[in-house]
Amino acid sequence: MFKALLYKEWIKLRLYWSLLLVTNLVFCGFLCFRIRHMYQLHDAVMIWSNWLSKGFLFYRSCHFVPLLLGIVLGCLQFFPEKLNKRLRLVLHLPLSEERSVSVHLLAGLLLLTAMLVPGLALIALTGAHYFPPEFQSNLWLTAAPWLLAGYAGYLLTAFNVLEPTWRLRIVGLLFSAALLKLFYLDDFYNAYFRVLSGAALWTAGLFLLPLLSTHRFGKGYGS
Amino acid sequence: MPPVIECRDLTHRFGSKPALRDVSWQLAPGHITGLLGRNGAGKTTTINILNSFLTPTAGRCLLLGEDAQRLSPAVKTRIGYQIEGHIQYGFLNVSQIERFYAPFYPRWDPKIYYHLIGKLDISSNQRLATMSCGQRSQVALGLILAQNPDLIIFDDYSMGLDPGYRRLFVEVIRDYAADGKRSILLTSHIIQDLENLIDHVIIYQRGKVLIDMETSRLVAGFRGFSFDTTEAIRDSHDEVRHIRLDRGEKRSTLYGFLDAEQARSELHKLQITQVGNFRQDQLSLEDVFIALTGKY
Amino acid sequence: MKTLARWFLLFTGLLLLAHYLPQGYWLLAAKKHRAPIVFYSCVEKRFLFYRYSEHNLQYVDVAGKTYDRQDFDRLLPLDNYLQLLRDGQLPKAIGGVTLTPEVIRRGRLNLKLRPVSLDSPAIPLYPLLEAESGRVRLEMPEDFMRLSSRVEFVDAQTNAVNRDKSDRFTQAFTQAGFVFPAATVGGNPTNLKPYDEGFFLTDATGATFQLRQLRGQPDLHRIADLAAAAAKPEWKSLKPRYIHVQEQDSRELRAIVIDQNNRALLVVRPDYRLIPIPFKRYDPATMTLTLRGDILHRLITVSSDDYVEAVVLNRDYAFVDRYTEDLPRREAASAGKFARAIFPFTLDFDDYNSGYLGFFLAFGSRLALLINLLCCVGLLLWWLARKQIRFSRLPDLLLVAIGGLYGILLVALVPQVEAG
Repeated sequence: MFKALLYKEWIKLRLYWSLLLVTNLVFCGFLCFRIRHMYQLHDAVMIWSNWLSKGFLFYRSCHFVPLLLGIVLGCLQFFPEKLNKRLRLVLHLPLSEERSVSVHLLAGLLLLTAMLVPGLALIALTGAHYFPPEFQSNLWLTAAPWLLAGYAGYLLTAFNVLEPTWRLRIVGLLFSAALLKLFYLDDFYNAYFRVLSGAALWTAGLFLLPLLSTHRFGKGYGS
Repeated sequence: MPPVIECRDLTHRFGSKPALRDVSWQLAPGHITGLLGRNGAGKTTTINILNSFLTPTAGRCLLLGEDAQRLSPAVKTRIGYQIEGHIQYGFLNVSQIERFYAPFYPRWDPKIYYHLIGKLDISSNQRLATMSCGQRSQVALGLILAQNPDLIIFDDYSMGLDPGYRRLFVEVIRDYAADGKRSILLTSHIIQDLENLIDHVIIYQRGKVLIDMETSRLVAGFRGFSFDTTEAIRDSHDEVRHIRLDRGEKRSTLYGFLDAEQARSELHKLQITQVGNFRQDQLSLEDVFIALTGKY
Repeated sequence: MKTLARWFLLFTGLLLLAHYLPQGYWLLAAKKHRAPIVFYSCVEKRFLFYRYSEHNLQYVDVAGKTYDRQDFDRLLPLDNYLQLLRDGQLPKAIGGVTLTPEVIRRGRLNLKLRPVSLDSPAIPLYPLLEAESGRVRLEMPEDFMRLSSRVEFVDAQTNAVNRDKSDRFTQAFTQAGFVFPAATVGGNPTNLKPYDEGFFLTDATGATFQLRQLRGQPDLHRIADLAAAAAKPEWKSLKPRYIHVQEQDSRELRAIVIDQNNRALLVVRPDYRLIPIPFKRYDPATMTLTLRGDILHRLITVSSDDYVEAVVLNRDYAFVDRYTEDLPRREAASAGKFARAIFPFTLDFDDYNSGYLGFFLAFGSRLALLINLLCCVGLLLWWLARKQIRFSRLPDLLLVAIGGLYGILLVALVPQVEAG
């Protein structure tokens, strides 16, 4: 049954997912070329010193990419379900409402991960060529909140798209904006180190919110 | 045998506007029942409550013995739903959608689905979004029948369908329910289609149950008597006894659960003594429906 | 599950409101609030201040007497020598020292140690400069040093370890008795400085070493071995927590050490003399330490939001004078009192004393508890009027009891989950 739901989501999203995967690869490829370009133009010692002292983050320009991918995926996955109230088809299935929606969300989270990983692998390989492990781990620890923002953005998008009433949707959008901003508080590298596990747990907790809006949808609010 | 559907004192309000008022009825198993009513009578509200898309303000509905708001997955496998407009996943094609639904239903029989699909001029990799409304309705119907459900609820099956597909639908349902083991509840505005299909009818009027009886008894017992129109004749309606007098240009008609003598007696009570060319009219189910619920 | 989801939404909403509403409030209500800057007049041997009020800057002394700018400048000749020179007011000598701009400039010292330096993310790679290249200016090295269970030098261009150099240095460390891993590393990783002190390292046993690179070779010594006899026992017992290096033209001060007991100590040339700075109250985690030195004195100030202390030492680092002052806190002003009343708690993620984000919770005043109680009563009356009092709503009441105005806002915006 879960396989069937994953199958349906895959058929629905496979074209869009491919486009988003390519988009992410392009961004990450651009980043890799930028690193190479930096080394061609500047002194390696200067690059490393800038990174150490000023927190020069050449990859900061891509920090909204995971968030945008998460939001777009959430929209592409759940707007079709809202259209003509197709979500009712899922709610009619002989499966608890919570389980059905959870599988949809898991499908989305898996697709998001599968979309991000190739690009991140590309950056990891390039980074390993140019930088020592200390810089590499620093890069990933600094980028961690931005990656979490991607997952949070996906779950919050699902929550807002599935919510049937405009009133709570506006509240939800404000809530989402306020929460997502917290992933982008500090510019300096690795500033999130102490709060990363808390941020990760909170992001995982956001999984509950689309269950709430589906329940409200199912109970006929806003119809 | 316990009823397949049971509504008990169902009440619902949208804000302060009442949509359903203490509605109670039951469906015995093995019947095809039509839930009829004018726009705004409360049919859609009832269907939404049965489908668990609405929580009633008061009262409850039972489907196969379980509360409609809290159906267990096991009972859900025995119920088929068709959503208004034959909504389905447009991005799936004919074979993909069968592959999707099959694992959910233990009694799934793909032969039933493909038999129905075979009647249409479509290929198995055609996506639903590219089909006509009629073709889509058949796919939706095939998916429901393949479940082998004990109970099917159709929410306005006729919406968007041309006469050909409507006729096909009626024939398929009739054949399907012929063994008397299936129970079907359907709503529609095209009453002439239902005449030869439903064996039980429930008519709603302004959020209440007006009529709840076998179709044959209704059509046999509710009669119309027409006569020449005179000056004295005015439209009138007795809601409690379901008696209506319709004034026409040339001919007027008296409707009700009456025989000829009772009809004349009613006309007399209404001070209509001149009754020229008095005769009983042949009424279709649609005529009965309009006579009971009015034109306005 | 839906109830849990609603609770998660409400709880998160509570934390978000506790973060953003006070921020918004202070955006509107904040007033300029700067701590006074302390000076020490070598002419009159007393403290002088820049004091900031909302609209202007005042030049005052301890008694509160104000001065005009020219008089103030004259009392601080070593700070304002360029202006006095221009005005023809620079004295010929002070304290037996002939004053010329060159002498004054060369005697100046300026160091600042902010709390954020002690608690910030850092990447453990260190550029060990060549201290005696023969060139006039220092140059950045081609490689960066890594201290793990050994010493390694990673070439920046090739990202490869220089095995030869790494082995040479590791051997030097072993011979010097350095026990890996390094506990603290202090240095100034830039070539824009007059000379290079290298790195001060403490090993796993807490012993402090100084490392420099001289013509490509390691120059590593246990400081206790290099220090004068009087300083040796101090160095042996010293447990540094943080070592701040900021090479100055005067070449007198090597470093400032913060030890495990939060003492600040100056490390003075030539023989690593340790001078504890005799602060009454110094918390490196919340106070900025500023050292301003001239040819006569060392003025060392520590300041935080609510406290400022200045200590004056002479050129021999003997104690001369001290000034302390408690400052009014933002929270004590009327805007702060109001904030503490309406916000039962506030949540911040940023602490400007640390480079790391964290969860910083601050509670309101007792008046806030009263306001919370009033909110609860208001909510109960509202429910009573709408005949909506139900046992299932008790958690909402609890939310308002804890969150006060935040709770009221959330209860109004987020509807109940229908039972079953």
